[in-house]
Amino acid sequence: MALAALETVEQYISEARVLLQDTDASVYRYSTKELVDALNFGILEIKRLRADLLLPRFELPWTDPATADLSAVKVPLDPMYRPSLVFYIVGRAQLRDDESTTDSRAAGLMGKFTSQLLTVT
Amino acid sequence: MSACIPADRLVQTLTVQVPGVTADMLNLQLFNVIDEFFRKSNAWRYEVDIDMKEGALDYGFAVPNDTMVVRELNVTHNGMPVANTQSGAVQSSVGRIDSSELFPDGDVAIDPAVSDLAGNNLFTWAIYRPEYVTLTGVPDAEGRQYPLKMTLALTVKHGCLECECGDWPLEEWMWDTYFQAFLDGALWKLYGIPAKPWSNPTYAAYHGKRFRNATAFHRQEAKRGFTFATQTWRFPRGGWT
Repeated sequence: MALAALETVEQYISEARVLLQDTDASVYRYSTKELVDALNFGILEIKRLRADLLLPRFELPWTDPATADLSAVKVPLDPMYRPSLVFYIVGRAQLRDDESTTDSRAAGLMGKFTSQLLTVT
Repeated sequence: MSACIPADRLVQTLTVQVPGVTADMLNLQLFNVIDEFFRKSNAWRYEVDIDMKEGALDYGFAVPNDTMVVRELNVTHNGMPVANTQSGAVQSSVGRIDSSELFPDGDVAIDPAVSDLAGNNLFTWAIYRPEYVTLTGVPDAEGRQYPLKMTLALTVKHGCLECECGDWPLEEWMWDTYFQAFLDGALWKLYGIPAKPWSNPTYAAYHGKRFRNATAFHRQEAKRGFTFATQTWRFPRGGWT
C-alpha cells in the first residue's frame, strides 16, 4: 500500500493488519474496534509529543468505531508521519497478552513511533 | 501561503534545512519571523495622504489589505514636518519675545490670539487608536489645500495567517531583498523549539544572531532610503550667516 494512501481510518487499519498478519476477515484476531481505539490513542500521543502536527487548530479527531464510516473518516496527518501512526497501532495492539507475539516487539514498535516523531533517525 | 510563488525559494530552503518540519509549522514560524522583522526594522514603509477638513480633528486612513500599522514614522504638511502631540509644546525658533510684554515676575502678556496655534497653521498629531490620526487643530483654507502626508511602518496582519487567502500581502521584491533575514529568522525559531526532530540550540543561537544583525542592517537601510550611505555633507546648523 502506498504511503500516500494512508488517509482514511480504514486504510490505517488495513495497513496495521498487514503488519499484524491479521488479514483474514473471517477470523480476525484483533477486532476493528480495538485497532480504531489504538489509532485514537495514537492521535492523543501525537498531540502530546508533536502538537505542531495538528496545526492550525489542534483539533483531535476521535473516531467512534461503532458509528463512523471508516472508509470516509480521514486522519489529518502529514504524510511524513503516517507510517509512525501505523507502528503505534500495531504496537499497541500487540501489548495485549497474546501468544502470537512478544512484549519486546510491541515495545519496539511503540518506541519506534516515539523516536520517529522526535528525531530524524 | 499555498499559492505564494515568491515564497517558494524560502519554503524550499527551509524544508531542506529542517528535516521533518510540516508545511503548517513552516507557515506559522515564517509568519512570526516576518512580523517580528517588520516590527523591529520599520523596513516596510507606506505613505498615505489625508485631506483635512474644517472642524474635523479625527481622520481615518486605510492601509493595504492584510497589513497593519506598526507605527507612524513621520508626518509632513506642505513639505514641513509636523510634530507629534506627545513631543511637548510646539515652539517656533522664529522671532523673539518683546521685552515690553514681559513683567518683572516672569509673567508674560501675549495676546492669546497671537499665540493661538490653530490660527497660524501650527498643529500636532497623535495616534490614539490604530488607523486613526487625531490633530490638535486644522489649518486654514489655504493650508488645507495640501494633504497631510503620513509615512507608516507596516507589518503583516494576523488574520492572513488564519484564513486561506493565499498570498501574504508582501510585495515580491521583499521576498528577494529580505530572503536571508527571513531564512535566518525562521531557522532561529525552528531550531530553538524543544523536543522536535530538528531541535538544535547551537544552530538556533547562530541563526538568531544573524537574524538580529540583518534586522538592524535593514532598519538602517530603510531609514537611509535604501542608499549605500548617508550624505557626507551637512547643512550649516542654525542657517547661513
